[in-house]
Amino acid sequence: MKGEIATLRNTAERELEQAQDEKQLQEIRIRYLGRKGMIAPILKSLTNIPEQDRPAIGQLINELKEFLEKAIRERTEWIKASKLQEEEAQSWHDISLRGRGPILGCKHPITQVMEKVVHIFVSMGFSIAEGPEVELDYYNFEALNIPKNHPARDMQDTFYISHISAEVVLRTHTSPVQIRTMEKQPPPVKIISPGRVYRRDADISHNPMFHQVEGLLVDQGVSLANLKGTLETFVHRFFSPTIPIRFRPSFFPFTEPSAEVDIQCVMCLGKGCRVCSNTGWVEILGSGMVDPAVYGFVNYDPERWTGFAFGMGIERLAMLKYGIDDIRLFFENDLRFLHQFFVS
Amino acid sequence: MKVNYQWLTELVTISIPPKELAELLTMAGLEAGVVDQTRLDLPGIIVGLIKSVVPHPHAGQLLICQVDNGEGIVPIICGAPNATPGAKVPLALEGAMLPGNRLIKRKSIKGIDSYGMICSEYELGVGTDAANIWILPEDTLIGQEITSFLDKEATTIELNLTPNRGDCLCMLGVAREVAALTGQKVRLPLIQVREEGDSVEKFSSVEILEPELCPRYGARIIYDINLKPSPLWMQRRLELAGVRPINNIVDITNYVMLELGQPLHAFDYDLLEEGRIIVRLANQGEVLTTLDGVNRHLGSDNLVIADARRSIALAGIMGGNGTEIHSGTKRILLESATFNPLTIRKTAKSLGMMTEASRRFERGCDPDGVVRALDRAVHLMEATNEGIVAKGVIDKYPKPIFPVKINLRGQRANAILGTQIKVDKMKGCLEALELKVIEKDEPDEVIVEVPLFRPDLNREIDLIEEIARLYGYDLIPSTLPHAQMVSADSTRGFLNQKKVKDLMLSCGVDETINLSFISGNSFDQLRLPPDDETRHAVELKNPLSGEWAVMRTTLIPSLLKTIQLNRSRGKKDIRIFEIGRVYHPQKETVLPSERLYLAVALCGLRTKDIWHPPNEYCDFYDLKGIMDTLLERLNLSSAKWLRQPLAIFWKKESYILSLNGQELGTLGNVHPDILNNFEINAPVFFFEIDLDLVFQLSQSEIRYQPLAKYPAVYRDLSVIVPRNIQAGSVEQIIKGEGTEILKDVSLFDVYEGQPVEAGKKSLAFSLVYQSEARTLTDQEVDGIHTRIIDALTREFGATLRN
Repeated sequence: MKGEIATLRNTAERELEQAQDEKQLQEIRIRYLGRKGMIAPILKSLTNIPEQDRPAIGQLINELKEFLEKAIRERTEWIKASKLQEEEAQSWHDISLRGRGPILGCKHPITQVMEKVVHIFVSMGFSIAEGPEVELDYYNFEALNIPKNHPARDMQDTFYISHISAEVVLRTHTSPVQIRTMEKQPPPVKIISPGRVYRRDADISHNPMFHQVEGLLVDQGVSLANLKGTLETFVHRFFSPTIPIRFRPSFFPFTEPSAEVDIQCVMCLGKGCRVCSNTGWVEILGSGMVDPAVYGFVNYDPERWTGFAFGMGIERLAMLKYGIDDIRLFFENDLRFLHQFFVS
Repeated sequence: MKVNYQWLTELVTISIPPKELAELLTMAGLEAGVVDQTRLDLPGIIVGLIKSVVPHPHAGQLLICQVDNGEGIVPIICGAPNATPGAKVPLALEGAMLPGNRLIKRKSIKGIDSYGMICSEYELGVGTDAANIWILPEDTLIGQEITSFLDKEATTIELNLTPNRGDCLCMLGVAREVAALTGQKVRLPLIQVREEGDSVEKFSSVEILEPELCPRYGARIIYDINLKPSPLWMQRRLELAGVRPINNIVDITNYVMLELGQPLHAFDYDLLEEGRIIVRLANQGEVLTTLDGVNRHLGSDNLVIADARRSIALAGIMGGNGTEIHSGTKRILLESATFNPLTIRKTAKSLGMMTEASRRFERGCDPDGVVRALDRAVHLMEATNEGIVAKGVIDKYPKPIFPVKINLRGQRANAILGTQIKVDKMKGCLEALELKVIEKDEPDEVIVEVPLFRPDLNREIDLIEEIARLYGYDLIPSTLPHAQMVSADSTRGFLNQKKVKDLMLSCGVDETINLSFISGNSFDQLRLPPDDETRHAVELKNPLSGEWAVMRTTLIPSLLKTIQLNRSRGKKDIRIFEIGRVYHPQKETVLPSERLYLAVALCGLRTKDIWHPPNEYCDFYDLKGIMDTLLERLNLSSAKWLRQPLAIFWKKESYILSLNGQELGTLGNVHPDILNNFEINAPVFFFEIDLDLVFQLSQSEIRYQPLAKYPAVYRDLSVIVPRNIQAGSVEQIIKGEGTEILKDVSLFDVYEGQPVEAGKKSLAFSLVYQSEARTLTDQEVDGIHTRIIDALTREFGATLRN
């Protein structure tokens, strides 16, 4: 009996060593430990041996069972581990292939610049105001101190709308929003107005439609020095904190004193090139102290309230920022152009 | 305005080079563009060195100069008093061509041969000095062509003047600015008038019938006119300023206008009926042929200059050709006048005539300069022996204009500018600009009297700007405002737009921005019926082209054009959107309604050339998926799709989206006829939605729901229904029968084809049952599941699929 058990153990041990997968192990388990396995008859035959020998043999059988259980478990672990090792050794990916998943759309460069400009001013405490693009002559010109038959009207070529009874234009700037806002609310006013504007002009630096962001701040004690501080902050945040900037006197009918703001030419870094007409500077926005005449149209007391206004063309900023030399590219929507602005 | 640097130096001393001057003017508000410095265009003229000078033996005033031309010494006869040994001079040798087609030949002068000519600036057209020869700089190389020299006379600075600075449309005005900026004084040009013969009153008289429109009119008579080309230097200056030289008389009027800013006009005196001038309004229907040969039909609001019989000039704009100077002209009447800017502008605008004169008059000319300009012109005529000036000036000034006096408060100026400039400093700035400052008892205030050449200065704020300009914008400090905080929920509209844009990008759609105007025939291209509301559009009165004639009422033409453009350039797979306004005329209001729309169009491959197969074409459901995502994100999933055949879509793939009876948008498969009209030969799926309405209806409030404590029971349900039954209707029945324990229904398979019988389809749903109060039993769920199947059988004749 003892010998039989020892043989069984040896055979099982050999078989286990040869088992290569879990299925074979399962078969071995059934063959030895199953209900109809090889150990079961030995247990049954215990009744045939002398009673005093039974505990010792019984223990041997139990030891065999425990041994087999443990050996099968260990072999299982070993097979799993070696399988994993093999899998790992064989695994391979082409990291140069694009991963599966969503391909995102591109945000139009004008939108990107517009959002950036708006964000800077909103973070400085300006509110956003919007108004109609098809606008009354009154808001677009008259109330901005640009009377009819004034040479200042030549500064902006205007689209007129066919209308029987009123003078209607496509707004040439978003400044009418300033008037509409001041008409509606008493000072203080602190707004920017982004949007589409229209001028009757088409060449590589003019498009009949373009985008502007204009700003207006009216409060007590607002000065030209404040205008400089605000716009310098903007320019430094939009371009770079070190870019040279200058304010130069100019003329707009709705501001006085007026100032144009130049930055060092981003193309030639001030050395002089075609883009900056060899001056080393490029103009990026117009601004000034709100002309007292404008307050007259909205019933603000010019002795009590002062303020500044500014306006910039988004396309111009985008052209300088990205080095684009033809404004019409923005509106042609050639996907080869638009896809260049994926990085945002 | 082209400013001739050399000319400017005659009126004010300038000690800085042109580029620096341009910079200085720019920073004072006169934006200088290109500084044009050209080299002399004088081939064949070389540098010579005068070795010796001896008097001509037979002609006392002439000199024989021995000149080194770099190759040898040649004798040149010359009459200039400044010809001295050691001087380097421009030398025109035999065969050289001088301006004015003057060919240089060797010739014998009183028995002595001269081998060429030593030139003056005048002869070379580079200066006004005709008496002296031009002495060149000492460091020039003998024999070298002088084309390598900078042409100092041709150095011009282009000024981009703002409309308020009409005073700088002349050399004198710019000189005043330069003087103010550099601490110099302006030198007025030389005026010496020698009058002869009869008094001007004997020749002519001036009558002003409209003193408001013509406050001042001056005239002189010049006789014995000698009409010829003007001197080369004057012709060059005119040409450099962009004015075509004509003859000495016309050129002088133009020259004085460029110099002093006062437009002049010369009439042929002998062609004036009764020799007199009347300034009046035109008669309605009066016709005047202007110098450009155009017949101008005038109205009673056009101011004219007339003689006793007819109008002879359009006041301040252009002369008439009936009294034009011509080769036989013997006597002229020279006009110098002041006109009301508004009347000149109106007439010039209505007749479409923008002239050098009208440009100046409509910006305002100095009434105090009227006679000075006349005198300067006759001075130039006399100086070049071109005529004799009659005695006296006619100067009608019925409505004298007086200088404005403005009170200036130092404190106010500093408050506006954010500075602490002393009043004395302010006075200095204003006086530098030739403004008269009068002290007041209050130490902080002064009275400022503005000369008439600055009509743009009328108010205190105008003076404050002048102070800032002269003080220097760069010296004004830079500070952030201390403004009050305001509460305004103003960014919502902008942020909503951004939210939708970002959502579209994450759906893999590219943003485009198209022009707001479309072609008038777009609506025909879209096959819209004649009475379609979309055709009712805002029209431009003066469009740039027919392609951009009306404001769009729908975004579809813009997106189709963009698809066409990209496909024609080889980009076939296109997923694009635009957010922009559409414009609809309104009956009740002058201004149209403007609503923000979103439109999406898909064409070509779905997957943008990704290596993962399969590469499939976009279809209806790709588009609808984007719309569904948008509606889910904005919590508008309760909106209903109604099939409605629209002209632009395939009849059966045409839907409108509706919520609470309001139409939110349209969606469909664009009809091939329309695609054909836009030259697109691939399917395009398109939707358009009213974002303003969407934002108005969207409610994005979120309420948290507790998570379930009891286990869920999952069941699948696969039914066969007729093909035309919408999955949504089946889902509705399931939800209706499912009671509150049915928590979720989702469709996971739609199948048509074998073994499903033709005309039918199989729909497979997975259902989740769950209770908040207890663990559900199988029995309970089976009961409800059976009820659902019964209901589907009843409604749609559905059968269970095995």
